[in-house]
Amino acid sequence: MHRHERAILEILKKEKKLDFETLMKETGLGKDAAMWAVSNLFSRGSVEAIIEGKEIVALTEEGKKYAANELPEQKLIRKLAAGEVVLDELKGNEDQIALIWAKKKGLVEIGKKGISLTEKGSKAAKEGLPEDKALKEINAGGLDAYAKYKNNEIFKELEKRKLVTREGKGELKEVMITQHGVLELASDMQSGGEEIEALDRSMLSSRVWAGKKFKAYNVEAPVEAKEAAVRHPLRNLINEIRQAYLSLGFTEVTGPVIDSSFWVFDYLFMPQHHPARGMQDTFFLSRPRELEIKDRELVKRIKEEHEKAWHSEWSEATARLAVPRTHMTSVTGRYMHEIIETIQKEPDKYELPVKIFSVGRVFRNENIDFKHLADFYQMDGMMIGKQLTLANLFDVLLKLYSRLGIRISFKPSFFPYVEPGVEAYTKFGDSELELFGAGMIRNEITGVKRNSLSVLAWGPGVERVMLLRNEKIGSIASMYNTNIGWLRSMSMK
Amino acid sequence: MPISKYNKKYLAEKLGFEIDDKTLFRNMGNMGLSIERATKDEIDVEFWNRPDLLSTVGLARAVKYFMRRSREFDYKVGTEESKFVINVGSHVGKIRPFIAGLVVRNMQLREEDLLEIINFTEKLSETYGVRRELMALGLHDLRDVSPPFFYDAYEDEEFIPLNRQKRMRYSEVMKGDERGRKYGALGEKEKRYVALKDARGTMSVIPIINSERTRITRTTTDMLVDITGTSKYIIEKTADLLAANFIDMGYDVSTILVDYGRGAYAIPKMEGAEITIPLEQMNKEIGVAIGFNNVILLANKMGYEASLVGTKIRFRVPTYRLDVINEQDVIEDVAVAYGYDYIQPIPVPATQVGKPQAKEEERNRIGEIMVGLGYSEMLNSYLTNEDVNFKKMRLESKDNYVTIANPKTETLTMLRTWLMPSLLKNLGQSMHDKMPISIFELDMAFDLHVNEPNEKYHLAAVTCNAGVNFNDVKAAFEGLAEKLEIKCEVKKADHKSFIEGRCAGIEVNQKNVGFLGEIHPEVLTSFGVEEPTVGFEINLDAI
Repeated sequence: MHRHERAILEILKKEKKLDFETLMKETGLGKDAAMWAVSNLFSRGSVEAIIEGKEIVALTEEGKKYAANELPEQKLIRKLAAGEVVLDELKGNEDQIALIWAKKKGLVEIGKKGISLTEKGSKAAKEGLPEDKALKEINAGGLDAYAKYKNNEIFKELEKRKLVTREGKGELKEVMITQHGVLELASDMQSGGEEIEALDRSMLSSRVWAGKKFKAYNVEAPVEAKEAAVRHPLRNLINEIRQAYLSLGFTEVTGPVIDSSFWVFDYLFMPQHHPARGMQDTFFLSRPRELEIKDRELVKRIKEEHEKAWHSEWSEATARLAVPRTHMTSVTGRYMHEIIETIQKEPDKYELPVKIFSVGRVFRNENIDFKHLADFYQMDGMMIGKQLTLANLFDVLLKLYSRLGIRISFKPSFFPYVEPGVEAYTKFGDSELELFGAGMIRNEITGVKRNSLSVLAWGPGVERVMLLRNEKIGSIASMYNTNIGWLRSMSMK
Repeated sequence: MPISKYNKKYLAEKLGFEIDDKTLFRNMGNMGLSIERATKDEIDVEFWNRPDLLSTVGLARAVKYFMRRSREFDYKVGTEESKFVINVGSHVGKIRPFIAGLVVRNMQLREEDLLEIINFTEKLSETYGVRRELMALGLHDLRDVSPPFFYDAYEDEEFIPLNRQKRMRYSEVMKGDERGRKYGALGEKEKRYVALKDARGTMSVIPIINSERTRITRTTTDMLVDITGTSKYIIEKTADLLAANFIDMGYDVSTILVDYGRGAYAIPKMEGAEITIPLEQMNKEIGVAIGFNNVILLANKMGYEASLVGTKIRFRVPTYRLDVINEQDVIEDVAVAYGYDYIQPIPVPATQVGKPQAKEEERNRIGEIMVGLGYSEMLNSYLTNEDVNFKKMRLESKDNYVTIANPKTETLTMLRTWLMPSLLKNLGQSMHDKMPISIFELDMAFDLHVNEPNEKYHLAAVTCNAGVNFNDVKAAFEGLAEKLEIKCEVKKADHKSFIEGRCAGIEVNQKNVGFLGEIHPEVLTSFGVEEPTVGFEINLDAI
């Protein structure tokens, strides 16, 4: 314990409670030394202190600088009024500040001919800005001037610009000893020597700490927690999903975000008049408007399949329209096409079944609200093999979701590109929450009969999984467009 | 997806047996119909593929089969006299070539029956008919028509449209009527207008509006239905579907004749396709072992008549099913009838090792380094607008970026070309949070190269705090560059989003791949960022 601290505790042990003035007199300590010692004792819980507060106002460094001269925008309009300045010369940091505020306050106009004063600006150049006056008065007059300005807009501006600060400053009135202080003093008497405060390099090398006591801190006193830098919770989930797929033997694939309607819809047997292809549901692009479909043979086959099945004309122009993909099946589908083509030429090229997955952003033309987003993540998977069955599909989906800690069940559903179609759902409270669509890809898409190759496919959303697993996340929209506060509040457990 | 609404009272009447909501909804769910919303009076179901379920009678029919309350599969139609013939003229071919129809007799129309008929005919034309383009239909009181009928494209003439008192020209209907403006283009070409006529004149301007003369009312007992469109298959199958619906409503349906000039034939044909599938194939696709007798029962549950042909099953597709294309659809129906809950999962034997994308792994490692440097990760939308992406960043927009043609809001008009604006937006929304704030994003940005989209991965990071300066961001970037062994040079550069003289370009092989520096105060102010901020952004695909 420091000798100043000991001196204070000794007096207080006798008197229990003293006002600060008396304490200084009794110990013979100066104000700074006494304050320092009391605050140390206070932080260790050895004394209680009574502090009486009052509000004070002060100028910051920047504020003081301007108060001594003038506000940058005042300087700017003064110079402008004197005809001294042109826009190109305004390059310095302070000039930029001057420009922003002058513009904001409507003092200047910036046109083709450069910078000029507005009517308001000319008036202010003559009379001086009220903010400038206020800053000078506060600098000179302290609290009286502050009392005059504290509730008006001028002060708010100065405060926002960080030219003035205000804080409650406490005055130490009385100090009294606590039970802990009494004990500390007693143990200090026993050890009979000074305790070590902070350990440093020289103490380590000289071993002066040996045989001495370290000053005990109040380890239960509150501190402000450090903010841990973290990855985004959704990114962590995406990586967990990737790991789940990889552990089941799936290979990761990627593909274009911006694609032709052909790969997003037509190849997947979505009729050109399907409501999901409408302007209401899908974003179309004006740049690029169209994208070329290179595989001419495939275009021919898809045209035939569509016209046969949907009894209406298939237009290649419609298929060329560029869209940001609406699902990840455009990516897995493209791979599936390549793989099937290869297998037909070289049957032994792949070990069957081929298992692929792709996680990425997809887009829907939604009205954005707490439930809907225009872009979000999907995690499509596909299995290409011989004689794969609906029972196989259920098996792989159950495994994938059990890895993610979610129990799922299946019911029939309809999606144009699968037959049979499946909807996976989970129990959520008392209700069923639909999770995603799945099924066996139609022959019209694969171009081969099911007795030679069949394809199982599914297209879940990632955000749904996140919502199910973390009750604290109230909505899908809250996962994006976030502030750091949200991220910091997320548990990583 | 279109929503179909069903009146529960009418549904109960058509089902003809007592059923509680829970049982009904469970059965509908097992049939693949997911209920969006249910109230005391109505059920909303969302689907697209089954036109036969757009009507309440159609839903009642399907539920009855599924719950084994009905095994009646035949829909019988009668035959009208030969004067009930529609003669198709030569001008209609290029506009709307095909017509079908049917006659409905012995109706006793209550208010709710009339509502049901209007509801499902309207819904059919809008959804299956693709807003009347592929198919549309019209209803006429049989008392008010005088066969034979003529279907052709005529020159402009007059008639009294439905709900009007005065005569109007076809051309006026196109311009002056809401439906005319909406559907007019489907029935007009070179000043000829598609119409259905009888001996007394215009019955309907197609596919827009009927005549007042043939209006259907509560007192109508017999009715002629016309169905027109651009696909013969679609309109003739629609006739089959309507026939089934009217028969299920308790009415009599009879055929009429259509003559394209090559001899008249009767419509509706009431033909259901036959599809034969080996039982083994079906079991193999579903992954179950269903026996012969059971398959036939399951087929019946879905409304198919089925019979055994050797080791194969022959299914007769119900005449009203417009969605069954081939055996895949039939197998799905059998699987649905079997019940997905009863299909036991079977693992696929496989020995492959999963492989991640190397690039994805690399990006994850970069993310980890950024966290190590004290930055937290943000995820932002790929969609943005010119104000955020360019203007607030003090940049001019050129035309080498990807734009949305049909934005619903002004906030989403383009794909972002860089990530820094997203992060500054995040900062602006975080001003009440504890400083310092260090955040990064590692994700996609987009631009255009000769009209081809260029998709790339960027890394951007910012730090916002009182007293941060150029050196802080340069130190952070170089810490990262060292870990990634990026051979880059940091050179003096100009970028409008940064403070002049406090911005550097990042160069790899003398090529600019990014920037770092102190963000310009005007940029900060426009995003609502109240403390100095430094940051960097690089194109990871270019290093």
